[in-house]
Parts: sequence; structure tokens; C-alpha cells
Amino acid sequence: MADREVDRVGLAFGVAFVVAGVLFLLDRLEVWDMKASYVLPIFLIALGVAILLGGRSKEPPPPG
Amino acid sequence: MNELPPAPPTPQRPVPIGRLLVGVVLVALGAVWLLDAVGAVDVDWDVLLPVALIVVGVALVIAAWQGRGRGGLIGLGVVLTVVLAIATVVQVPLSGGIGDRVERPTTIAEIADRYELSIGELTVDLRGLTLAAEIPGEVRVEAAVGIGHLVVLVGQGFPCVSTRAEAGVGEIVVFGERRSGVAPEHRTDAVCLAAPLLSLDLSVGLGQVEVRHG
Repeated sequence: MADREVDRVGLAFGVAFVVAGVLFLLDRLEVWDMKASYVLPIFLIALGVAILLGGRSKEPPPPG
Repeated sequence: MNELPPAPPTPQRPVPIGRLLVGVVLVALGAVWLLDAVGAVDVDWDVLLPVALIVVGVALVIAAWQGRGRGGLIGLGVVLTVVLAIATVVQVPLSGGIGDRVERPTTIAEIADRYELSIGELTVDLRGLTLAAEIPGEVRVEAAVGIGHLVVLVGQGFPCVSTRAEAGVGEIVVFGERRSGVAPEHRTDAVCLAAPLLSLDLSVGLGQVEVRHG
């Protein structure tokens, strides 16, 4: 069976969801206070990281 | 009569792990929701939704690592993230009810641990609050509104008022002092020379917090 290629977009979103889920859970359990002013910047950072990691999945074909 | 040779078995395409897990997560969420609706279990959605997001994330990592189909996991994760983000910004107390409500405690014993309203206008009228012969050092009042207007009316019997008020998006007006925008906060720590200190802990998700003398 041939090795399948790692899906970087899926991986990036998966990691982002896990991190976001843990932060939301800590907030709900009152371990950490996630303020409204934190949410949008964290969302933008996660989106940017996902786009950056996802963009690396399609490498251009070798020249020639 | 010619008999056709049996058709060769078509190879079964494996169900993408992503689609499989989306199905499992949706069935599990639906089942828990139904059990909660019929009163069989008491579900703490504040904890369940973040856990569901973590499960989706882990499933997505596994699917991605194996190079198998995502099957809608990203969409499900985005929906959960948006719902949780809105709930965090707006801070909706889900069990508070909807409508307009006025609370008028007349004794300290009548003051609830916390007043909550999901959507609407909540007025906590403290003007009729009478203190017993033994005056406490501090009287605490905690109130939260998800979307709407939270009004606290303070009587003249309290020489000192300490306020901690916050809003997700909206405005805070404490004795005429105004803050507004995204995540405005207002804190005043009163230095009290005479008891009792009225300590207010107030929050609104989307709307206005107002503290004033009646």
C-alpha cells in the first residue's frame, strides 16, 4: 500500500480546532478568563497559521 | 438459456474517516441534545461544545495524517468555533429566560446569588432594600444579561458602591460615567468609611449595563 500524503490543510485546521477547543474549555471551567477582546485576535492568528500551513501543501511542479 | 457469469465483485470504497467521524459526532450531539430536551439528562453545554470541538480537531488531525478525506470536518469545526466565539463574546447566560424582569429584594436574605436573563431587560431595584439592625460589612449583588439591558437602581442607604461591570459589545454607564465599544469595562473600588459596602458584579454580552441612583 502506497504511503498517502499528509493533508496539511486538514492538519492545520485540526490543530487550530484542538487549541481553540482547549482554550474555550478552560474558559468555561473558569481556569482561564477568555475576554471578548482576546477572541478576534486569536481567531485571526489561527486563520493565518492555517492559511500559511495549508498553502505549503501544493508545491509548484519542478521546472522542466 | 444462457446464464451470465456472475459479475465480479465491485471493490467497496472505504468511507472517508472524516465523513464517518462527522456522522458520529452529529449523532452523538443529537442524542445528547434529545436526552437533554426530554429531561433524561442535564447537559452542561458550556463544557460539551468545547469538548466536541476538540474531538473534531483530533479527528481532523488523524484524518489528515492518514491522508484520508476530511468529509466536512472542517465545516463542522468552523461552525462550532463560531458558535463558541459568539457565546464567549456575548456571554449569554443560557438558562436565564427571555423578556423583561424586575427584581426588588427588600432584605439582604432575599438577594439571589446571581440574577440572570438571556435576552431582554433586567432591572435590579435595590432602593427598597432595608438593612437589619446588624449592618453587614459588604452586600454583594451579581447580575448578568446576555443580550439586552441591565439596570441596577441603588438606594441612598449605601454610602459606598464598588462596581465591576463589563460588556462584550455595548455600553456601560455607572453613575453617569460612560464606557462603550468592544469589551468595555468599568471598575471602581470604593474606600469606605461607613458600612455597608455595596459590591456590584455586572455583565452584559451585547447591550448596556446601567447603574444609577433611583
